[in-house]
Amino acid sequence: MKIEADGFTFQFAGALDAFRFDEKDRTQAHFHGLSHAMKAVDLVVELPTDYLFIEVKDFHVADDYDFKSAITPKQRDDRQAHFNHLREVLKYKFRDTWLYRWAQGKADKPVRYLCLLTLDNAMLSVLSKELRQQLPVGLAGPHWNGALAQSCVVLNLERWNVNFPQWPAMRMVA
Amino acid sequence: MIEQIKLERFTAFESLTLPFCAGINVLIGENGTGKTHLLKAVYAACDVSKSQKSLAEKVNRVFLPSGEQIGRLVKRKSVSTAGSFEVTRKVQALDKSITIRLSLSNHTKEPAKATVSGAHKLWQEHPVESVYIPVKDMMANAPGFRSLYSLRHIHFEEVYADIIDRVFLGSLKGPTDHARKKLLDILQQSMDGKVIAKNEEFFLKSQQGELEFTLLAEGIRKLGLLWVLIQNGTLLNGSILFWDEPETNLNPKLMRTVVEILIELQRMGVQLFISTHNYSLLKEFDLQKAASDQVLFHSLYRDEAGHIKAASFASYDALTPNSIDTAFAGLVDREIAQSMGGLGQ
Repeated sequence: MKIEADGFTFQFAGALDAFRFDEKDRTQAHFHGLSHAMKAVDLVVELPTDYLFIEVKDFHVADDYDFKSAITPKQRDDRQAHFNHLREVLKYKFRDTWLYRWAQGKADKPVRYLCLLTLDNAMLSVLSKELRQQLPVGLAGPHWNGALAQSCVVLNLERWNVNFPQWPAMRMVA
Repeated sequence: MIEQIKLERFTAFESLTLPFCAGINVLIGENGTGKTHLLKAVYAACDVSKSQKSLAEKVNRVFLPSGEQIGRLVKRKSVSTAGSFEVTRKVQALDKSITIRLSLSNHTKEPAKATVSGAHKLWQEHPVESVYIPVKDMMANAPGFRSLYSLRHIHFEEVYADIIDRVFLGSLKGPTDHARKKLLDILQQSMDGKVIAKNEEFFLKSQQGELEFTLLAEGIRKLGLLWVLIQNGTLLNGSILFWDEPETNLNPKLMRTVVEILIELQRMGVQLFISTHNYSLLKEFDLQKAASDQVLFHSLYRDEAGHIKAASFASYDALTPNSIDTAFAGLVDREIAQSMGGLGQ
């Protein structure tokens, strides 16, 4: 199943369904009509056993988010602010999408959140960790009976294709 | 300035020619790709210009092969083999490049039997100041080490004795110039004091008193070493600094200071050779360098035949293969495998 999002094409072998979640065309089956009210991830993929929520962000200046390597206190604050903003955006896109899907009666399989970003490998783990804590991933405590997210990983294009050979992704030629 | 090194069947190298930039040369590569060997070979060539020693003798003392049999530095083969390396440097006073070469075979037992050729006379007529900072700190162990090293046959590569010699050089005459004062101030601020020596023992002198180096954090000792080398004029315009893995025992905050100093030294006209395994250090160079700074990243790697090759890049983003980023990729992959339970494979 082939689908495009934010300058990338993806193929999902064995998927039951794959669609752009924020569909703008009201004639399409997956048009939900609430784009003005809630945030949404780019793609939703239904596999036989899981759902994938996929968010794609192609930065032009990846270092804007690299607060750990900032030189001056101001630069560090700016980059930390960018990084925090990015984390918040990714978090709320997941949560709002999850709510839509729950309301649609489509929260019946474990959800895995994949964020395809243009970051150095060293920064991927940093953001993955923060996002896993914020979503959160897994059972959040003794009073929870279910997990909002089964897993959450942040990848760049190279790591995506190494780790998901069944779901090849390519940058679209402009 | 050192322009290039060329190695043929020397230590781990089969055949490699590596041109350098006049500013900061950052060497990365997995263990066993010869980063330290490159630094030591170029350093030995620089040192003999000033010490007037034989290049073969210096190389033997710096590499310290077993039994001090210099022939063991030839790349190991099952047959008799000859090896060599040559270093080319531009001498400003002559306005030309000169080369010094060391040739030997795996049967060469003593340095005196190895051949030093090229412009070695000119090489020594035009000395260059150089300093090699080894991975292990020596300032805390300085008391008595020099006399022990000169009197007894102790198994230490000569870079350890050399660095202690450099730090005990007397101060330059006259007032400290503006550029050096700026660097000393940056270091003093980070160390919260300055370095003094008493009877071959170093202390950090601050408002709280004098703290011996053996009681200091290793990271602060590194800043102290830089402070001394700048203060005593070892690191001046035209000198060359070799530093093997500056990141050892440095936290990221101190790393920022170290890179700031190294970039400033480059602006003062010091040529630098740095080897590193550390992402933060590499990234600091990438982020702190201005457009006018000269920084060249050299990636050492083994090709399919197992031979060491090098690729050089002016930009960190273009650096490939990037062994440091690859190490992080391995961690990311394991994290994904753990998290995704094999989905998408």
